[in-house]
Amino acid sequence: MIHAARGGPRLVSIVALSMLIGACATKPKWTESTLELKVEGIELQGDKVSRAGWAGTGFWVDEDTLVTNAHVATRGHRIVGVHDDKQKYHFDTIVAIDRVADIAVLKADRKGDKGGVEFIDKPKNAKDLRGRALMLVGNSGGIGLGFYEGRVTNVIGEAPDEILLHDTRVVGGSSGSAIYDKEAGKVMGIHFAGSSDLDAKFASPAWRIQKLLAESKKNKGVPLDQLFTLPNVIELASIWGQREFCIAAGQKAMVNFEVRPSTDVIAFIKPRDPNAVLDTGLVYGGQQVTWSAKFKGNLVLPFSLRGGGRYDLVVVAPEGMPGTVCGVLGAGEIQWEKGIK
Amino acid sequence: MNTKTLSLMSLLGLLAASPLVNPVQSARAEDALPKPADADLLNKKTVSVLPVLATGPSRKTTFLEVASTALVGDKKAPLMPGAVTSVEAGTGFGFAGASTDKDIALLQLGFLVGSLPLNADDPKAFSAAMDMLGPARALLAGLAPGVVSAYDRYVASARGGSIDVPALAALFEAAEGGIATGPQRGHGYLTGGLWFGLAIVGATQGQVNPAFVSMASPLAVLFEEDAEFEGSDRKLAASLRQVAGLLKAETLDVQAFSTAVSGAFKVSADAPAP
Repeated sequence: MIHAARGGPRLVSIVALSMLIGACATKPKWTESTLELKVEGIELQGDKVSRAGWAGTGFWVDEDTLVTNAHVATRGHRIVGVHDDKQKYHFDTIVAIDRVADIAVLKADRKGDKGGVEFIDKPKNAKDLRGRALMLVGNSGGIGLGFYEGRVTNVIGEAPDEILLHDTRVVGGSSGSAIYDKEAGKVMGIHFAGSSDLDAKFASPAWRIQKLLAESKKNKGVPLDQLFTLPNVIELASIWGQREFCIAAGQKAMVNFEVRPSTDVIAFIKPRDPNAVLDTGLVYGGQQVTWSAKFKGNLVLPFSLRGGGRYDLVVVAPEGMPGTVCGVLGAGEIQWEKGIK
Repeated sequence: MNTKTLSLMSLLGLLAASPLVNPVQSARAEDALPKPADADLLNKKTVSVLPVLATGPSRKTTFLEVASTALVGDKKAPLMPGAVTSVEAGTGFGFAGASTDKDIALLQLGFLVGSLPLNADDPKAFSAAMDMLGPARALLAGLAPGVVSAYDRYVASARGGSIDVPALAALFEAAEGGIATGPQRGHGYLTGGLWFGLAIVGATQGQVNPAFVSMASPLAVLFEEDAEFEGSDRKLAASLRQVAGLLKAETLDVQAFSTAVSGAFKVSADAPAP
C-alpha cells in the first residue's frame, strides 16, 4: 500500500529522531531554499467537514514561488512557511496543481531574500538516475528541517509519468521535500510518498516540476480559501459513474473504486422514497468501515481519502425494513485543479 | 431514469436537498438514530456493484493510457511469447469454441480485441483474427451503442492495418459504462476479456501501466459480489486477481501468468444463452 507522506507533529517518534541524528551531514546552505510548512485547512468526512492541521515541506523556485506536494496544499486555507532563521512567509495563493505528480505551486505574501533551487538537466534516459546519491532536506516528523541521505534506487513508469524511487528514511511531514543530487546540489525531484510493499519512497522528477512551473505562468492563481470551499466540492466534482439500485432488508448496493493516496472523492445516494431510512458507510479494503451513518433523503458525501487502495461506498437496507427501496448511487472525484485560473 | 453521467446542474440539484448544505452540522444524517454497526454494513448480501475502473484527474486519459498498451512497438521486445502460445493453445480457447453461452463468447471476443496487436506481425494469424471479428459483431447486439460504434471503428482500423488506440479506449470505457446501464453480464464479460487481452499484450512488453492493473480489482469485486454474477464468475474473478497480482511483481512469472490467463478461459457457462 502507498501512503502519502504528509503528517503532523504527532508523528514525531524516536525512530525519526534517531534517523535525523544519523543522517545529519553536509551542506547546511541547502536549507536556505527550504521551508517547514504548517497548514491549517479542512478535511471532508462524509456528513461533516472538520478543521485540521498538518505539516509538510516546500522549497523556493524563485523569490516568491514555492513548490510543495499537491496533497500538502490541497484543502489548506492557511499555509505558513518557516525558515531555519525563523523568517515566516504566508502562502495564500495557489497557482497550479498536478495531482498525478503530486505537485503544487504556491505564491508567497512577499518576496523573500532566499534564492530558488536549481534543477538537474533531464537525462536522456531517466533510468540513468539510478544509483545517484541524494540529499533530502525536509520537515520529516514535523520536527523541523533535517538532512536525510539516500540514493535513487529505481525509476519506474513511462514519460511523462516517471517516478523516482529512493531509500531515504523519512516519515510524515517530509512531503514536498526537494531531493537534491548530492554531488551537483541541484534538485532531482520532489518527494511525495512511500510504499511499504516496495520498501521505497517516491518522488516526482525535476522535469515534471519544471513543466508545471511553466504552465503556472499562465495562471493568475486563486486564494486558498476561495478554492477549497464546499461549493467547489460540487462545482469541481467529476462523476465517474452512477447506477440504479433496488435493495430489500438485509441487502446492499455499492460503488467500488480504487484511488491513489490523498484523493478527495464525492459519493451520492438518491433513494426514490424520501422517507426510507437506510444505512450507508465507506469501507476501506473491503473490511474496514471508516465512516457510517443512517440517513433518509438525498445524500452527497465528500471524503478526503488519505490512503490509496480499494474503497466501497455501500448503501444498506436495514433488517426489518418493509418492501424494497430503489434509487441511484454514484461517485466521483474532486478535480481541484480545474478551479485554478 | 437516465443513468448517464450526472450533469453539473443535476448534481447541484441533488445538493440542494442534501446534508452538504450544512455539513458541519451533519444535517439530515439521522442524528437521533444510532450509527449502524460495522457488521450491518459488511455482512449483508450485495445485490448490485458499480465498478469504477478508471479514476484520476482524467478518466478519458486513463482509458487512453491503458489502451495504449496495445501499441506494440519495435522498441519493445516480446519477453514472453511462450505465454501467448499457451493461451492460444489453452483448453477451450478460440472464438466459436466449445462454449455457446453469449457471455463467455463476449469474454473471448474482448480477449481477441485486446490481444489483437500481438498478431500484427503474423499475417496469417492476423487474418484469422479479422475473419472472426467481422461476424462477431452480432454478439454486440443489445450492448451499449458506444460499445458497438467503438468496436466498428477499431475493427475498421485494424482492417487497414493499424491499431486505433482511441477507439480501443472508447470501447473499454463504453463497456465499463454498460455495466451500469445493462445488460450487466454481457458488458462485464466483454470488459473482462478486454482486460485479459491487454494484460497479455502488456506482459509481452515488460511493463504494465499501474492504472491498468488497478482495473482488475473493481472488476473482480463485480464478479464476486454482484448478485447477477454467480458460479463461474467467481472463477473469473480469481483469475483477474491472480493475473493482476502477477503483473504487479517486479519480475513476471511467465509460467504462472500463462496458467492464470488460460484459467480465465476455462470458465464455462452456467446456463445456456436464451
